[in-house]
Amino acid sequence: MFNLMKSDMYRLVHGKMLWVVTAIVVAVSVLVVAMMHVVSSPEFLSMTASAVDMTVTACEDEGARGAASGDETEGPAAAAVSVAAAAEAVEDVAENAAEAEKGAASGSASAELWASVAEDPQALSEADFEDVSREMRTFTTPADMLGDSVVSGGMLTLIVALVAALFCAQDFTTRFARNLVMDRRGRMRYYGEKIVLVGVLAAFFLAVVSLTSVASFAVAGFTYEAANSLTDLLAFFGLTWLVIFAYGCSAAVIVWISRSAGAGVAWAIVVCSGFLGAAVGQVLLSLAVVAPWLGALEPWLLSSCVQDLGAFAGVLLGTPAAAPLTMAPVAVQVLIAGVVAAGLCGVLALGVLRKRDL
Amino acid sequence: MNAIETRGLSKAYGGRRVVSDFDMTVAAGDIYGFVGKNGAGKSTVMKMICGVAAPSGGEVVLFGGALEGSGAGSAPSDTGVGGPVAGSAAIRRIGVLIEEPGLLPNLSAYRNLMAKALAWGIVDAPARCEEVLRLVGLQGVGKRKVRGFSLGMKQRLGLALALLGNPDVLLLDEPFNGLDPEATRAMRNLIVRLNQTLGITVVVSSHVLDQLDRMATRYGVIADGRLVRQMSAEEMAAECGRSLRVRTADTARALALLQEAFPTVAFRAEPDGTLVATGAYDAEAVARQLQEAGQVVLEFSQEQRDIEDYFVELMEGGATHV
Repeated sequence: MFNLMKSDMYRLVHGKMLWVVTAIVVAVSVLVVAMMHVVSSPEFLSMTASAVDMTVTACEDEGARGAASGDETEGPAAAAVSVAAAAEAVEDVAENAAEAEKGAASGSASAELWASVAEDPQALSEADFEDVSREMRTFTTPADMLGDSVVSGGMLTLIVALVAALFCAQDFTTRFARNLVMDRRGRMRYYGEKIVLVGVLAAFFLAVVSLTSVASFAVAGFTYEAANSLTDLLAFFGLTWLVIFAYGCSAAVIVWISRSAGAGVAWAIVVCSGFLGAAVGQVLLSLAVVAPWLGALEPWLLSSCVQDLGAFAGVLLGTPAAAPLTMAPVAVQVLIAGVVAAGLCGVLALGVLRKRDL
Repeated sequence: MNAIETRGLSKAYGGRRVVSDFDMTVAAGDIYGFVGKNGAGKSTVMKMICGVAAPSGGEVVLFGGALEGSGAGSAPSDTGVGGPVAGSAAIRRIGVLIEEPGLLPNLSAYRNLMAKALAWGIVDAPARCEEVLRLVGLQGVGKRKVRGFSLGMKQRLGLALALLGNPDVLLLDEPFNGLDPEATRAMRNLIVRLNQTLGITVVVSSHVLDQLDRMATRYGVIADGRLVRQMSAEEMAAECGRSLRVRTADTARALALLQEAFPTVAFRAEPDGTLVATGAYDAEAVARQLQEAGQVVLEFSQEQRDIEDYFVELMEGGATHV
């Protein structure tokens, strides 16, 4: 198995795919940080507040003019549209303000900003925007930063699943697999090694994205309120790796079943990106009205685990899991879901697929 | 010693048998020409021999040891080079080029070889890769990606991959496919050289019968998943070189008479009643025998057949071989 791993590493290092995908991943990670930097800048916040203020004012003026010229042909209709638009804009700001009020209780500068935009935009000063910017550029912990920017979007699971699918498919589409020792015992080693390789790929891309993001955030001036404990960091990275690994294994198994790169890529895009999981989760939650046990399944989906990892990155060990594991932390729930998914893939590959002819 | 032996080998896909009761023997040092129509089961047999496909029944014996998962036969332990070995150890003594060379198109020839050499744990892999590249005449291709190779170059690289593990047996499935005459000749010469200089046993399936005729020392003919005939090159030459056609007024009686008189000669009855004798027959003796038995001879002629007609006849298996 070690020899097979050496061979695969050689192919990955001397091929283009790994480097192209790594470059894309690094570029996307930097881009995400750059966008967050722009969006959280005082200038952008000021511009947004002004735009909101102008929209509200313009709509209110338009509505007033329309109401005044009610006898003109287009007057009533235009007035109605303008009033509706103004009402909508005010509603948006009010909505932000309402949400902000909740946050204001905890002293959030961002919440206060939106509350002020709704009430009296003219009263905002540059210092207010700088306060908000500083707050937006301060994450609770490094794990929360990675959870927010890296994990919850599903990019990592998609990337690892894509690379795993394409690499595994190459052995069959080119028939290179036949050059290896492929009696049944050989196939056991082959599939076992490929599963380990998916784990290595998951660790590699998790490391690349984490390091790139941490460095980019540091360069962009983002900071943290507190450091994570080693246990929290280990829980975050370990569980994130597990979920990425499980998704990668599922893509590899689809390729081994179908012997097709297309099927693997389609699976990666539709399933491993979290798209299908989110849809299934919504369906399960909707059906929970008639069958509550269906709703209870939703937190056990891998896609829900990814969302949990993003949302509770720094407190995976301190946040209670969903029913029926409410006494255990969410980390246990993610651990169970990840191990079950990866285990199923392992059983399929080593127990069933290895018996299949090449 | 036999390099390969199959005993009652069979393979079924979805209930459809594609190979049945296949008993084949390849002696060490043979160049074994494996002949059969498309879909006759040649590739399936080769896949079962090298372990890529698991037999549905029967067993494969490599170098005297039963291949794991190929039946209930005993599996002797490895007793060193030349002795009986079983399982993966035996399979590693086989180099395979079945259907397609199995190349990674985005890597160079050298790196394709290195990928396999590392997977096989070959000692001093870089040197061995250079060596097999020289052996197949691809030492000058440098860093060119395999996707830009001609079909002939790909076949040669496929052969290099098969040779990488210093095999004792090469299984080559249609190695001449798509090659121009020059490349075909180069490939044939290479196979013969490997057999004669390195002592590698070669099983080669091909539709290019004249190429087989120039190198095979033994033949096996497969039709509908069954081994129809196995023979040496000398036997094939004797049977294929000429035949005697005899038509008499009483076909059944003449056939019985000749079979009894010449037990070593193969006679078969054609649908039109003509008797065809092949092998080491004596035309004069046959004529005399018929005359003495009072048979009315309507036709008596000798024919030369080419190898193609001979094998087509065997593969079709329509005529009754005696």
